[in-house]
Amino acid sequence: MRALSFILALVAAALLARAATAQIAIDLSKHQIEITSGFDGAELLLFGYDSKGAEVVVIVRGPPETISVREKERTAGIWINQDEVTFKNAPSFYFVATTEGLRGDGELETILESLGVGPRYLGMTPIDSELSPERVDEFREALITLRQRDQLYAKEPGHVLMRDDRLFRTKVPFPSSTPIGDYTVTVYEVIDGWPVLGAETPLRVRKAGFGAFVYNTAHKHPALYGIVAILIALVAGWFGGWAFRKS
Amino acid sequence: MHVYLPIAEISVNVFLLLGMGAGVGVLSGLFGVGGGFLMTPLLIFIGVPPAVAVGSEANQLVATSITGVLAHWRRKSVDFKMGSVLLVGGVIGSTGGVFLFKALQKLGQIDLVISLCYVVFLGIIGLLMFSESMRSMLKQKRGVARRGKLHKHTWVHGLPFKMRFHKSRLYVSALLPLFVGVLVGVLAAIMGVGGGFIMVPAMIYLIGMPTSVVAGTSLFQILFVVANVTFLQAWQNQTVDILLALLLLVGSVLGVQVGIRLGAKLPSEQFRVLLAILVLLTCGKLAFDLVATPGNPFSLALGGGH
Repeated sequence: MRALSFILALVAAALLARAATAQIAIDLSKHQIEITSGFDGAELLLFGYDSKGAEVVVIVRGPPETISVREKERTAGIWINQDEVTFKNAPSFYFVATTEGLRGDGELETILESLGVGPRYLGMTPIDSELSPERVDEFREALITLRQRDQLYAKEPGHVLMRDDRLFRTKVPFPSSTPIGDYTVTVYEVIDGWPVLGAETPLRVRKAGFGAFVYNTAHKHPALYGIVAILIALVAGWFGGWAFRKS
Repeated sequence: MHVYLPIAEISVNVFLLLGMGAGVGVLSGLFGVGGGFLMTPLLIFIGVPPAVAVGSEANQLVATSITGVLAHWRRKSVDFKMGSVLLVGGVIGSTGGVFLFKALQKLGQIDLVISLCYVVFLGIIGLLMFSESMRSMLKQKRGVARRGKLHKHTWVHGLPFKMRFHKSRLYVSALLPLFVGVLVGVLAAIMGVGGGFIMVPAMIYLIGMPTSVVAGTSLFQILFVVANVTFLQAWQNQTVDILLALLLLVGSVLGVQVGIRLGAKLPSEQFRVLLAILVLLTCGKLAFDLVATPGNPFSLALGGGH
């Protein structure tokens, strides 16, 4: 904890130089998450300096995706996928955290709505669905619930801790199924109940090491990958048979 | 210890995968089946996407079947001519199957079709095996062995394009093994199985092959069919996870050897009943999941459907 405070103080000192012109500055403990073979989730520390000491909202968003939500219905006794709604611009990851002052009475909800970034206002738009708007909303809710279950969307907003009315920090958790791509990390200052864009910082999640090599080969040279997969299995099977032949 | 599977894109405990490989391997060694029909549902159960489970299991089966083919080749118990006819059907069936898989995936019905295939085929095979082994157990107890007719003439022998298969001492229509090959090929592509559990009974009861060459010949066909499925799934759908296949393989190579040794010591009839029960249980679980009200009727699919 002391080491952390020390680091924060150092960073704050560095940020202060920039803060002379900017009112707010942020940084991440890492700007790149590498998904290696041993990857089992990660936690980044976001920290920053705000000269006004205003309440802040931190939003982390994964790259937008096109995603289909399907609903099963009982047909002739068995459950079969029937209705389907496809949304575009659904973020692959979504995290929000706020300072204590914004935690009551749906205040955060209002702010997020005005920004168009809350869990229910993510800017996901359905692609020409024949279903009624109420039904589409059901599918939107289902998408959010499923992603919350997979820990890809934050269920509850995280806590941003303030120190000395100037320094703030929060932890951003990433599950083992974190999708790859370029993320946006944004901090808003809330002044008189209105959010104002504070600062942004980049974050990239990418596959690395052996896993990245396998993934890239599978997608860039799929035919070659298939042949290599067969050859490896043939050699392994032959070796297995040979090793146990005599015993 | 967890390992991140690059194609399945999930993190799984290494020892769980090794254990599953070993467990299914022991059963393979005991009963002389590939074990794909147990492994693929297990993989889906632990969270591997169905498409990746099918593709990677096909890859693993390449390894288990080459071991088997080499062993049978040394014992000269492979009918290569019969195997080749089965194989022609198998390549046609599995190629069609991979494209069918892709189309069903787009429609959002692949999980349903996989489950239905499993319920139907595991149900039939499980019941047949169960009644067959119970009957022979009862016979053993009574000590009566009634001889059946050596050769029965059925509609099967009236089909055209007859071919002579010396090794199997058969003169039958080539359409018969071709048809069996196509069926098994489609199932291999959709269900991620070698299809031995369907092909072996078909070879004995439908084609009439002597049991001595059945295992080797079916493995010969399975080897090429699963290799074809691996290649096509990798090429068309990018759903073969080499790391997953390798981890399963390490466990199964050891498990098979344990199973073979166990099998030599234990009474086989009782174990056939156990396998039949295991098959029926898997079938029952899958059937229950199709009928029971799901906890959440919604599911997600990346990239958008149609």
